[in-house]
Amino acid sequence: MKREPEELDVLRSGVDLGLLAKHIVDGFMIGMHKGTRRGIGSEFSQYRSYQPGDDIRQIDWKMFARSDRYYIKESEVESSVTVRFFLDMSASMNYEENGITRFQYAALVTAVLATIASQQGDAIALHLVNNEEHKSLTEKRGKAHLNRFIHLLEHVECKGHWPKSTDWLTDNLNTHSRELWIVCSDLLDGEQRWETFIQLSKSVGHEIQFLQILGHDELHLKMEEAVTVEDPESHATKNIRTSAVREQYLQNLHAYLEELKIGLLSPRTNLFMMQMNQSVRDALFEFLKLRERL
Amino acid sequence: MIFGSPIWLWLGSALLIPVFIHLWNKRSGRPRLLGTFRFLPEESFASAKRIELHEIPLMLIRMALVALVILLLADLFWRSEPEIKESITIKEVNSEETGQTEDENGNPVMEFSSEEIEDVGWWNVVAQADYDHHPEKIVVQGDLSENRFHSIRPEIKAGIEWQQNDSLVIPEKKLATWMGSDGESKVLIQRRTAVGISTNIETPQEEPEQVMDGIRLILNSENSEAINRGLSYAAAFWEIESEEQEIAERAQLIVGDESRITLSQQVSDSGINDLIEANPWSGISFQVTDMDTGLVAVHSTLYSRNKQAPFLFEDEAGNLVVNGNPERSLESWIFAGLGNQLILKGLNMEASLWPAMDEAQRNPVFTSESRTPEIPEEQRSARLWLVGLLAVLWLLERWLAPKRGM
Repeated sequence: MKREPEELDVLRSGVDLGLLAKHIVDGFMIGMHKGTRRGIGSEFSQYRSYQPGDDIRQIDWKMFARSDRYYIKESEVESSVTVRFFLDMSASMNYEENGITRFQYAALVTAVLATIASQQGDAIALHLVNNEEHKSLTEKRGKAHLNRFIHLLEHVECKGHWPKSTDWLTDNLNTHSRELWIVCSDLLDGEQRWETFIQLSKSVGHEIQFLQILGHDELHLKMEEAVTVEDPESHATKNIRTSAVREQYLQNLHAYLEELKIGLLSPRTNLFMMQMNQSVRDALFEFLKLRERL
Repeated sequence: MIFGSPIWLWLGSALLIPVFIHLWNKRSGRPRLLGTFRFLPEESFASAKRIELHEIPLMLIRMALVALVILLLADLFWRSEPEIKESITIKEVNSEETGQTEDENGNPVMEFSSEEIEDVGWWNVVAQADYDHHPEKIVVQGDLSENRFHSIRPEIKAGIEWQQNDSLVIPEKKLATWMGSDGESKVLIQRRTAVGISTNIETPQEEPEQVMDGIRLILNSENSEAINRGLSYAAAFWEIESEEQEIAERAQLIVGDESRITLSQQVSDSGINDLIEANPWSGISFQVTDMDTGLVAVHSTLYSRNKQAPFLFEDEAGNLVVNGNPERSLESWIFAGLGNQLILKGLNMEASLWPAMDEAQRNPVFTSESRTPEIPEEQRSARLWLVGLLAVLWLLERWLAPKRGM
């Protein structure tokens, strides 16, 4: 029998999300991005010749004394980016598998990534979004901000659907600094709903990472033979026989996923799918390894 | 249809299992949220709680599968009913060559030789035909004399039509021809008449080819007068010359020069027997014992079944035995009978004509109930058919079930 990922077990028991996220982060130390650039900093990197226009304050006078030449001392400095998390708060995030809702899983993924980002000194921002409500946390660094971030994740009610317009976002946009957008959603609201969002991100020039979270049972329609299913957003119900509808269902689903993949295809956009029966640690490890290559 | 193990038919209630399964599958419980709801096809095949029309074929197939399994367990046999013939004709032919033909209506005509009929008897032949062919009517054509109905009357279902074949019936028969005491030849002749068979001693119009000549009855002169009177009476009846002489036996029938048939006395432990040639097949012995002299042969005791003191009885060999001294008044008659037997033997009369069997007597016992079939060839096991059908239905079920999602 397949062993259930232990952190999902812990998540189900209702432990503090921040603590669990930190525990997972401790498990791997690979950074999300190259967080350093050469320049003024505390850690030595290299010497280079003085060029006209360089700040004379950067000249290493001790080196000048030894060599009678002007050298600029360079060191690696933290190059902080803002990691902006968008978390889908629509009703479909209430989908539950093995006692964990999709939102809980997404929240854990978000918390882990936010913890890593925070530890690297990146500013983190959070947007919890549906068509009725928009909760946000502006970008900031620091441990206290991470705690606020996680606290906000823990008190969410999922309803409605993903908004079609991006008005809620344009007010919060920061076009001056480099940002990485991470979107945690099931992306099941239809490609059209995401179009405006993608257009906006492209216009701003930020990189978007979509993390699509789908249940294993959703992907394979593993349910009882006769079951009543309910659409979380429209609340429509249907009595189905899974064996009868599975073939057509999977065909429709895969066609949509393929369409979505093509729709999101762009140099700055990336889609990564996570299955809810997968350990968050393993899923993120795989995701971060993939980002390493990119 | 018959069943080898009908007890399994009690499982017939299992036919309801597919219905219960269908209804059980209808249970769906609390709705489950499904984010991918919109990818479900329009037709879910389970939109109602009750059994729907499109489910019925599959349910029926499943019920048929259960029924087939039960029939297999119950060991079903097909019973092929024998072809019922409208009528069968059983025909006696005066020939050794027999066979089976058909009449103009296609009904079988079975031929039997006269010898076969005499051996087996009509009733056995009729019963066998009824058993084999189950006809509605059996027509019997042949000699319907009494001697051909010697077996036990059978029980048969078919109706019978008896048709006397006069060509096979001998109208008259000469049983013996001898030279009478008056110098003319005599013939014992049997004739069929409207009322039966008549037997007469006649003087033939034409001289017969073979005549037993020199036939005469010699009586022992030492016999009592009553005995000789009885024997003489027999001789007179057959118109045979008789005379008294001193001989050792009670009487002697002389036929021709050499053949002598005697009525002799033989002393045994139980008394004195009067025997014709002392042969058991002669059919009669006359036993005179001293012990039973007190017995009086009156009418009521003439044929007593009392084994203690019978006067006249059959012994184990089938001989008619007269036990004890008959009363004087009966003595002549008894010896007349013995003389008669002696002469019958001497004249070598064997076969005789038999009268036609009475119509009421020749019908078998009719029964409306068919006898228990004992012909295993008529039962074919349906196992192969059932297994084949089971395989076909199972494939059909496997093909249909995923389409219906059940």
